[in-house]
Formats: sequence, C-alpha cells, structure tokens
Amino acid sequence: MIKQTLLLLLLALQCMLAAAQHRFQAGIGYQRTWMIDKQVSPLKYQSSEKTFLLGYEYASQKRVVRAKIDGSLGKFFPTGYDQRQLYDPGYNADGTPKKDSFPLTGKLYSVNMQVAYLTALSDGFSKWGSNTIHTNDYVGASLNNQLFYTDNIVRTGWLNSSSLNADYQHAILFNTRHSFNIRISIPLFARNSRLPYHNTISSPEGDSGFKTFFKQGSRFTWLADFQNIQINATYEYAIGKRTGLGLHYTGQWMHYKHEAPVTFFQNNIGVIATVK
Amino acid sequence: MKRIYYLAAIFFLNSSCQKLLLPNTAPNSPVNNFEEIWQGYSRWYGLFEVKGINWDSLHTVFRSRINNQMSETELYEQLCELIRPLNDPHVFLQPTSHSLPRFESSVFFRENKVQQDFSIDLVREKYIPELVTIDDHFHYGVLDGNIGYVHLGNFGMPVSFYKMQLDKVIQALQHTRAVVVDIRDNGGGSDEAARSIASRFAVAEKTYMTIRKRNGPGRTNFTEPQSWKVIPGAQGYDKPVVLLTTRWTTSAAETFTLAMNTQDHIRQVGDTTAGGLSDVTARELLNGWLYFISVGDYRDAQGASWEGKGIAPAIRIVNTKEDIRQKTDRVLEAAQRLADRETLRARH
Repeated sequence: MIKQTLLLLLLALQCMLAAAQHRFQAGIGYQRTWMIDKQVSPLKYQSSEKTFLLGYEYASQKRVVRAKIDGSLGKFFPTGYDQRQLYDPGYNADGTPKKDSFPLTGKLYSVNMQVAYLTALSDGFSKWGSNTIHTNDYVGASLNNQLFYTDNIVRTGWLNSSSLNADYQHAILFNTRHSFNIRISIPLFARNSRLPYHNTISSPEGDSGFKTFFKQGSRFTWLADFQNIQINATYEYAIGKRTGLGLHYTGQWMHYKHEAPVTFFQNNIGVIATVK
Repeated sequence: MKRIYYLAAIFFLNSSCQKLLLPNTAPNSPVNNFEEIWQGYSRWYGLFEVKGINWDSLHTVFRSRINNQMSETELYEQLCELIRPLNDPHVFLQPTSHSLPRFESSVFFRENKVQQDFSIDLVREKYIPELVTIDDHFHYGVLDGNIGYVHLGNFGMPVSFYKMQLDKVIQALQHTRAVVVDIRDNGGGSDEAARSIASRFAVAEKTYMTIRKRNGPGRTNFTEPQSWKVIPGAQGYDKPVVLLTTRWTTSAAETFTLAMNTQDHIRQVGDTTAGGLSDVTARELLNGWLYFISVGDYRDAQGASWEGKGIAPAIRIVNTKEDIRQKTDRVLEAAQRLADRETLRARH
C-alpha cells in the first residue's frame, strides 16, 4: 500500500508539473500529540515535536489537485512521567543491584503523505465588513498514508494507516495579497496496520520485522471502526507575484478500535513559504 | 460555514481540548494499579494453562489486601506476591524509582543475581588464547585437538549480521574436527536470529517448535499455531557439534536449543536451560511502573512445553563458582572430550 501511495504521489506530481498553474510549498512547525493506546498502557502519552512540510498544489476555479508530505519528530512520554528512569536491572559482581539508570523517554516519529483531487462545488462573492471577498468550495477525495512509530519501551502507538478520504475545501481570497483556506479530510475506508494483539513480532518464514508487522497486523476498516478527522487551515500573504508566506494549522483527532483502542489528538502550527 | 471556523478556532486556541477529545484515564491509586496489572496478565499472559495457575483465585486473594491508603512500598510488595506464582523468567515488575528494585517472578533469577558458572575471560585465558572477538557477545576460536569453538552470548543483532559473521566463522572452522557452540550466558534475542544460526549447524530439515500467542482478552484466545523449522543452509557445519547450556540460557537461546536438539549430530551438554521461551511484551501501570508478560505458548515439535522447567541436556555437568575461581571450566573440558569421542564415532 505504501508503494502504491508513493507511486500515485509521483504520478500526481508529474501531472501537476505539466499544468499551467502550480505552486510549491515548504514549511516547518511545532506539533503536540496526546495519545492513549490501550493496547500497551493505561497512561496518556504526550509529545513535543518539530515538523516539516513539503507540498505541491494546483488550484483553479474548477479544481484543486494537491500532493504533500509532512513529518514530525519529538520527545514522547506519559503525561506526568517525563522524568521517569529505568534502573539497570543487573547486579554487580558482589550481588548488589546496580544503581545506574537511563531516562525512559522515547521518541515519536510520524510521516504523512497525501494526494488529493477536489472539484469545484460553488464559487461566489460575499461581504466581510466593507470588503467583498471571493470564495470557492471544493469537494473531492484523497489518498493518505500516515505512519506513527515510537521507540519507547512499550511500543505506544505503532500505526500505519492507508486511507481513502472524503475531502472538503473552502478557499477565500480577500484580495490579491491575502488568502485563506480551510480543509477537512475524513477517511471512508482504510487499511490499518498495528502490532498484533500480543504486541510482538516474530515470523516463522524468516520475514523482516517490517514485513511481519504489515503481514500480521493489517486489516481493512471503515468509518465504524476508524474515525479520523483532519482539519487544516492556512493563511497566506503574497509578498510578491510569485512568492508568499503563510501560517498553517493542522488539527487531527483519530480513534481506531483494533487491537485495543488507540485515540490521539494533534495540534500543529507552522510557517510555510510558497513559490508560484 | 461559521461552524467550521469555530471548530478550527477551538482546535487551535485551546490545546486543553485534548482532555475532551481523549478518553479518561483512571486515577493513579493502589486499587487501580492492582486491577491494571491483574487485568494485564489476564488479557495477555499465555501460560496460565501450561503452569496450571488459577488467576481468578489470585484476584480473590490479593484484592482484599489492597486499599487506597497503602504506601507505594506496600503496593510493590503485594504486586510482587501476585506475580510470584508465575515463576517465569519473562515475568517481572520494574518500578521506576531506585528505591524499589526489579522483582523477578523466576525463583532462579531471584536467587541468583550474577552468573558464576561461566566466564568468557577464562575461556580466552586458559583454553583459547587466540580467541577472536566479533563483538562483546560473539567469539570464536579453536580448542586443543582441533575442536572449533563458537560463543554466542545473545541473539540481539539482526539476522543479516549473524549470516555475514557466520560465513567467516564457519570458513575459519571448516577444517576443525568438531565444534563446541557455547550459549551458556545467552539471555536471548530474536527467534529469527536463533533459527538462522541453528540452520548453519543443521543437516536435516526439522520442525523444532510450534508457537501460538494470545490474540484476545479471553484466556483461551490464541493465534493459530505456527510451526518453526530449521532448514540446512548452503554454507553450514555438518561435523559433530556440542551445545553448551546453563540455567542462564534463556528465551531465544532456548528456542535455539530446541532447534539444535532436532539434529542427530548435535549433543546438548551442561545444565538445564532457564525455562522461559516465549516472546515478551512490556506494559505500564498508572504509577509509571513497568511489568513484563510472556504472551506465547511455545512447544517443542512433540508438543511438550518446557516453560518453567527448562530444556535438560543429554549430559549434565555444571561448573561451580569455585571451579571458575580456580580457573577450571569443567563443562568446556567435558565438551572437548565428548567432541573427540563423537568425532571418532563419526569416522567409524
């Protein structure tokens, strides 16, 4: 599924590069994640992450085509236990317990890839104070692959989700300099991979851990078992004819019930630079 | 449309809304921690039936001893008692404060803190001065009488590492008459690595293990059994092999022992292994402590479980602490003699 998504991403990029209107985006940001993964722990985990974003978008009155990849990396620990230590369980030669320790804090890694196609639903003008603004509404679909990996001792939140989503976008052009977009994406169907119920990986066929994870822990799912809402808002200021600077916010709430329920919520804010 | 803006504003401005959007966590109290660990084993432990343990009865016994006024140390003592009957090298409680030590449910590992019946330094010092070190846990060399020696102190590296290194090791030992494979201090690693290495010493394809793991909260919920086979590789060692084990030979080193014992030209010598073969997972309590669970039910090819018992050697011989202090490895010397005899037998 990852390979297919990558291929689609590349194809979409190739098509879009041939189009007349296009823009590239790059951004960095800060993200916080809160997660409860009952498969491994009753504790709530939280993170503090640095993020990046690379994107390409074709937007016209008729449609929006978008491809993006974003990722994050940051400290990940149970709320209230960020100073927790694992004491060496070994013993000295005289039989006394060793006292050395290391922090139990782990890291959260995530990567999210998306290709989306949206078609215009409506466009029009409305009043914002004394100004007239131009708005567009689009609906469509996206393919998304989101991977979460943590290196903490209990393997909190290992998840890969490849999903087909319903997307909605509302674009506002205040004037030639200021624009605002808000997007919502909700998966309809997904193939989700988690550690199996027993939370371990071993393969009698000798497959790699990576392959075994996808082989033993994947299942098709849909809205009834997997709820995932992504909201993205972007404000952009055109500093020149071909360049812009902006702020973006992404919020995501996800709940998946297999093997034991995992729920998380993310807030991401960052700056983006645009070249048209 | 206004609703969407409001929703975005809520997400953005108030990160404390995570409290509304995530399920509640139970308060950190002795009673809740007791219930958490009891439920954790109930839902994930794979050996209740094998060990004949009535986990429900332990809840009845211990729940009455737990109250929310008890101290952390008192809770620790009760939780240790709760898991003590499991007597499993993979079952232990790991508090995250140095005032409380890790509690081993295994009687052997509780009573024996430091291994004293084996020393790789002694092997180097007295028996193989030219011992080659691949890493801290992987050595090889040649004993007197042209008997090869391979020490594998764990199986924690990737399979590809062992494949690459064993190509060199077997090449270096190809002219030896027999080989001693020493896993006396091997605490485990991955079963895949263990199988891959065992395959290098195998001459016949054999099923050596079937495993099933918990796949649901009911205590009889297990995955379908999977068979593990040892399959001879292209560049293997087919002369007599003596496998050395101790009570410290644990986990993947024991599945390795099962694999090696399927081969007619391999003889296990030393002491019975630890008796903890299953995969293990870690979970947490509400107070941040960790506890570890055997999630599998591992059997040999005949369907026998060695959990809690260990795999007995064909020839039992054990070093004492005093032997090692006196610079004598009686087990290795016996292995040398046995390898000599096996070599002669193989010739005839």
